[in-house]
Amino acid sequence: MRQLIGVGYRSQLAGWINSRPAEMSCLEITAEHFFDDRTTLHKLAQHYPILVHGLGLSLGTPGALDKEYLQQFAAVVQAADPLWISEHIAFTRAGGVDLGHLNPIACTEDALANLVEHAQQVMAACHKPLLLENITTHLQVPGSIAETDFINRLCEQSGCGMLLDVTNLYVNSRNHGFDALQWLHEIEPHYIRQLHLVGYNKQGDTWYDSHAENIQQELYELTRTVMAYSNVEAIIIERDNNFPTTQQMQQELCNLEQCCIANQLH
Amino acid sequence: MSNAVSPISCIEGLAQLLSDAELRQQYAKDPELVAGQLGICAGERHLFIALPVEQLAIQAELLLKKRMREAWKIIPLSFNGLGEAAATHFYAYAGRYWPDTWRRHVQDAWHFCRYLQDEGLPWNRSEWNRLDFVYQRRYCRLGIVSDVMVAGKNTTALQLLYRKDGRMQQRIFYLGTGW
Repeated sequence: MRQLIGVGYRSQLAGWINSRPAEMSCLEITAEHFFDDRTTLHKLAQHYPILVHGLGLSLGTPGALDKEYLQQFAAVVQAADPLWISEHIAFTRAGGVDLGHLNPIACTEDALANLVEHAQQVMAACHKPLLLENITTHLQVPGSIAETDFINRLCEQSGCGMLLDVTNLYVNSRNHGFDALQWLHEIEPHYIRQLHLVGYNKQGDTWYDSHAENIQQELYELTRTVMAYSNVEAIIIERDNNFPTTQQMQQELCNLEQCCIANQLH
Repeated sequence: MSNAVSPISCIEGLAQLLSDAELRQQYAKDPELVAGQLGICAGERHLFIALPVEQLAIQAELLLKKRMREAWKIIPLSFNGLGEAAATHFYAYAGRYWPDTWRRHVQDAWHFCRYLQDEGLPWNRSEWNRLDFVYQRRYCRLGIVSDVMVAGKNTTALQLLYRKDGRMQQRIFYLGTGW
């Protein structure tokens, strides 16, 4: 199987993306960036297989999903006709507060049931497979279920796949002192369908996923391990800040292609 | 009339903690008391009171940093104009206001600019015009600005903003001659 390799669409990269670099075989768009811009989306969808990634459905919020938000998300999905869609195992708003960014949930039976219900609602509204992504967190919320067990059960019960963010796994393992490989091998391999990757940065003793650095060697190594373990179908570089040259972006895409080739030779 | 609080989940309580520095301080001293004040449901109370205080502070600060980074991308001139105090001013504003729509970054930048104006702090007029144009979903706007940089100098100019294919376009017409 030949993996799709691409980047997350950002306006800062638009010129390069629109030049259709040979190294790029798919494109991930952030749904919220296109809630009121279908023109650009239609153009992109003509040239690339699209993956739609969500940031704000807040699947981990207890209670009902925001119906208006879901309708807007589904409208973008309909316009893009992606291979699949993805969101996070997280919450961004709860209790009347919109925190605007991803926060961890408590891995409990109630949270599991809530996420399963929400994931199924999203798939029903969008008519596309849904992948769920692990987040980076500096806060470990106590729970009653191990995170990897939670993810396996979530995928099993909801019918979703997993978007494994390799950088998030690496950063969390460093900040919270666990073995990334052991964590990986506790996830059922057939759930992992897509990867996210970007360089981490470190300040003092803390690692961050600020989406602002080139991909480091240890992340490529972890990526190769993930690919050997699972059946990854697509890899996306998620750069949001400190944008590099197009040559650097192309080099990272080539490096990932090499990871894929090396995996196929094994 | 009953004063009873409807029970809320641990996650709802966590959202309150992450958005309210004062509440976090109370929680650090007495998590049981805060759990009671917020009305955390009995089944999740043990999870709520076990939230690690130091990690809560780190996560809360990170949320503000992420907000600031996104707002900075939208109004860099106004942030740069604040110099080293930029983060201090943003945090003072951000702890009191949380944007609540999918356009949250634009919403945040717009409200921060209003905060700067209300507080008599420096802000960039032409940048504000662009931001207000986008935030208010305007179609056309013409104004005189005096902070357009030409050859390293603040210059008075006519600023025309309009939409083409749904996207904002800008034209600047200088007043006077010499450039």
